[in-house]
Amino acid sequence: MNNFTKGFIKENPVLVLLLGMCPSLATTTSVINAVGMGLSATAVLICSNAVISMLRKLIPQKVRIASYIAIIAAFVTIVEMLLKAYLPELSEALGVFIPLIVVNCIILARAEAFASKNEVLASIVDGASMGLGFTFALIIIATVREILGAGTWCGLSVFTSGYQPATMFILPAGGFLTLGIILGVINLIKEGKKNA
Amino acid sequence: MNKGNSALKMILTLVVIAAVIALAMSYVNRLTAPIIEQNAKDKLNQSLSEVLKADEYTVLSENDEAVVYGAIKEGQQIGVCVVNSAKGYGGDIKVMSGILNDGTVSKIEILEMSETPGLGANAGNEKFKAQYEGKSENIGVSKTNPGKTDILAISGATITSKAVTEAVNDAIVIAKQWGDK
Repeated sequence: MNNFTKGFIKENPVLVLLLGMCPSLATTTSVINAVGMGLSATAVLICSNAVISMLRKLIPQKVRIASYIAIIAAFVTIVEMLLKAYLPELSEALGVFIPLIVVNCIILARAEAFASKNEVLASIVDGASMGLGFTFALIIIATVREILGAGTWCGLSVFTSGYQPATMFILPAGGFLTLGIILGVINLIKEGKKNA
Repeated sequence: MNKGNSALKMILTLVVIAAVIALAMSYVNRLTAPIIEQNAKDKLNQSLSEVLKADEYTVLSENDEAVVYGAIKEGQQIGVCVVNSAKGYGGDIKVMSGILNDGTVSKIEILEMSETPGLGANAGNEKFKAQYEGKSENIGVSKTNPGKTDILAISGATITSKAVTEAVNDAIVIAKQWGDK
């Protein structure tokens, strides 16, 4: 159980480990995109963790990174093809960031740090935990950016009327600001816990 | 003893992994390729009937500059749909313009763009696109008081507005060559 919850708060890949910053900034302009990106990465992470854990005793040390990348790239390509076929609008919105999951450091980091040393089941749980933690972090960032920057949440209007959206929050600068402030708040809470 | 690291074993491992992956991917590709193609076709047809309602569309010409579709209704060509692009602020903007036989714009649709959200991306709004309806040639862009042949630029996105207008103007010129004779 602890293995599963760690990805959300204690070892959240984005908010605590600061991995995968690029998609976290680029795909959080709307909550829908954030959920799509998060779940796609989660699917890849669970599958790659499972396969890498299964093969961990067969893959020679020296070629392990090459093998991991090949396995991850295969799952990313499969997810990309499925998205294009069944969710074309989402795939268009996420664009190049789906193929870029291949080089998402969260996925390689979990393969190297966890799946290559642990049992299959534990690796699957780890993949789900980290993936959903990633999704959770993206949703938080996207919620702030979409509400402030577009006045909507998941495409639904939040304010009655007359709200002038602060477009800056949808732009890259707003992404950095939002991420920085969220990280600051989290550090503040952690500090408070330590001192208490 | 370097059992796990002999060159042969390394090569074999990578070859086997690559082979299995290739097999899995070709299987998924076979499964999804027809659906992806159908999606693209549906999307094109939807845009075509959006800009100029007709019974069927035929490709009249296709080159690097533009793709021209003839819109046929009850056996007669009522106009053409032109797909072309112009350079916007964030890259090429791909526009589809429906143009009637008399040379006036029926409707336009933005197919692809990477303009700034909240500014240039507003070119996708109905209100902006509707300005082109009924215009016929040399459409101009005005920031304050658009005349009869002008459109009102999106505030903060003059480059985008000019790019869309350029694409539509080009489309009108191209449409003249393909109009019903």
